[in-house]
Amino acid sequence: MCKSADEKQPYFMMSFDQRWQCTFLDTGAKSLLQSTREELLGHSALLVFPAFETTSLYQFGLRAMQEQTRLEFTADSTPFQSWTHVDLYPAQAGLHVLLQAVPRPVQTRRREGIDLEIARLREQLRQNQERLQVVQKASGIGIFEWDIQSGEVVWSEEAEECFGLRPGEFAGTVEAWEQLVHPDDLPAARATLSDSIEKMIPLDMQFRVIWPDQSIHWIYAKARTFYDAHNKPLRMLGINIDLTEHKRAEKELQVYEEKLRLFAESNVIGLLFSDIYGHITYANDAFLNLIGYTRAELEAGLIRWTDLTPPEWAPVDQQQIALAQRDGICTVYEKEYIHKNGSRINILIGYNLVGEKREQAVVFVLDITKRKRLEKQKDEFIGVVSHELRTPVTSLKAFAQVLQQRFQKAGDRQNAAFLAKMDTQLTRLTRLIGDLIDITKLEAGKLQLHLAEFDLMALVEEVVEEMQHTTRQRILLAENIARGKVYGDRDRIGQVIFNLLSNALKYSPQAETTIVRVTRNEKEATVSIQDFGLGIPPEKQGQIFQRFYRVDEKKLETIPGMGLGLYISAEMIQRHGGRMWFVSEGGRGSTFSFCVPLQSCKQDKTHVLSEEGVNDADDQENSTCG
Amino acid sequence: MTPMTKRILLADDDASILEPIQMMLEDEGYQVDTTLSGEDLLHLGPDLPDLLLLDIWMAGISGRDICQHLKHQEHTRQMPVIIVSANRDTEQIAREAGADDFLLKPFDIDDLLNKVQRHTTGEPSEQSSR
Repeated sequence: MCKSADEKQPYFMMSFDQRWQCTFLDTGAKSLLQSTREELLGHSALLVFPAFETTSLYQFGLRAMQEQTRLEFTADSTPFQSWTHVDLYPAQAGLHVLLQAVPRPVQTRRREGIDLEIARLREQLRQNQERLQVVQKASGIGIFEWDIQSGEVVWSEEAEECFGLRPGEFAGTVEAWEQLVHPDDLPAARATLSDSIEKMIPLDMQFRVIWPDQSIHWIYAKARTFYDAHNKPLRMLGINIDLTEHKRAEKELQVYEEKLRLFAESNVIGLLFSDIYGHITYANDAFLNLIGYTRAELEAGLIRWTDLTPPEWAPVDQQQIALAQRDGICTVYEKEYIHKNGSRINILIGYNLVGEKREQAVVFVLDITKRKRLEKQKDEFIGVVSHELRTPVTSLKAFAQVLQQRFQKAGDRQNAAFLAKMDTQLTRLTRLIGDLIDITKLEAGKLQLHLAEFDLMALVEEVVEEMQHTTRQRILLAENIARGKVYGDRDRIGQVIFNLLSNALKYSPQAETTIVRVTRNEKEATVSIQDFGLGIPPEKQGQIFQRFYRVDEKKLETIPGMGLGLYISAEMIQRHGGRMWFVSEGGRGSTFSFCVPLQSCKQDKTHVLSEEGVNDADDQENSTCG
Repeated sequence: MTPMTKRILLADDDASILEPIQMMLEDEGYQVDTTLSGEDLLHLGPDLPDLLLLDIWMAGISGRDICQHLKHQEHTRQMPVIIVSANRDTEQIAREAGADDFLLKPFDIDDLLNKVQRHTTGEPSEQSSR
């Protein structure tokens, strides 16, 4: 035992493997336990600690190993004739144990003195622990002990590992250590080492070593020297850590941080950190430029995103934040901000919510004002085009009709019939123009539905009657019809029925009949249209609701169409909160069905969202052109 | 046919539309006046037509505004107005503007004649034919 143990509050180190066999023991511990290293190494902790609190050691040690966390306990123990503070550090395959003597409080000492002493010790203990905690994070902590008097150096296996050596390979001298140190770092390392001993300061240094495979590794060394009563250095006890991984990770982190900084400061998009209540902690210049505020204003806390948001967008934010709190991430969405100058900015926003309660946000903001303006121009263009195309058709149709009537009255039935055909073709042209406009509106999510209750059966009858005039086939309306109201856009539903029925007629050129059925239950009404035509080959069935899709069979090539009808129909029904489906068998025909809700189940969101855009286009239609 | 010749005023800024509609109505025995200018409609004299067929998209002034104006003037408010447009939302616009009926372009001759007849003979106006 060290002579000055009580005064110096020495600490001793030992290591155990997972089976509690002692794998390392420093000389202090050896003297403490009054046995030789040979007697103790490789033996179980029970033998090493005959008088010590092995129960606590097992109990805490197991937990430290299982949970890979540092634990500590204090015991009133025999070996030191004092209290012992025990720190347990999980190692790669075992446990390092640090024993530290804590003086037993002595009754005669003055209370104040004791308190001071305890505080000092606690502080010292805390510092030691902190250092060791830092150290413990790295893998492979090597322990070394240098008997300064004899010159003998003992390394644990982990220490040898740090230097790239196999167990037992280290020669056990200071010179052997020096040979391993990188020549460039050796003079400084030597100087630091002797300084630490002479000036009695703890050793704390980093140096490079060259492994036998010539790779270079960074080693972190930390140690303490123990002295006798005459301040003669006796031994140095410390640890070695291979920092190479750590250094590399540190460098990677630096590169990553640099990238992140470049990203944030590139100002391609607005980035900010905020909480969900409005407070903004960081924003890049792009964001500040977007909203027209200065960094000084941000730093003064004058900018809250809740104040930037127009009141009508607050519910949208709330809804999205609620979803993001559930999922951690929000769906990117569009909203508006109010610029400092009062103008509105269209933005695309997305964020991650972080933190325990998901109240902190990492946000990106993209200015889409220009894009929105273009979109608006596009909508206006559609409005103009729809009018420009319809006007000549209206004129042609009116002329054709008036001429037809005149021929009719004059008894020229042949020419009247030609003009009637011309009129039919113009009606088709009108529908095609309508489809093109619809599809553009659908794509932009701006199809406006005029929702109201209406009699579905009456509508079906109307469309069937209209179609019957155009075909020699018989369109049968199934007998057990279900009357009653449904909720939707009557014109649009009529368009869907028309599309399905005209497809049925078109793709069953040889058939004699097509059957239309209307059924309903408490929630929805279903319209089914069954043809006995060509059917859809199984391999094509997945695509038929796609835009511009036409069944590309040789024999069908002559059947006209743009391939928009089913796409538009399915989209329309979907926007009504309904479904469309089909059953088809090649060569035997197809049945297309759709259902629509009877009630206004969710006061259609599409309706609300689409209002603005459509009115833009139509206002334009109403005012600009002539 | 109505016993007395009914007078109809057609307002559309596109002559290619005015012409065939005029032909249709005249073939049915109506007396038809046409105007290409929306402004004219704001200064109608005391001798009002029996019906105004008004295009919604007039150069310079919206048909909707004209209709609203006419429906707020004491001496024109009784004159039936049918709004004509290629806009799918014509029905709604017509309702908002206080028009008596609407017609969607392009239209069928029968639709036109039915509506014109209904509003010139003073039959109670149905909300819409469709």
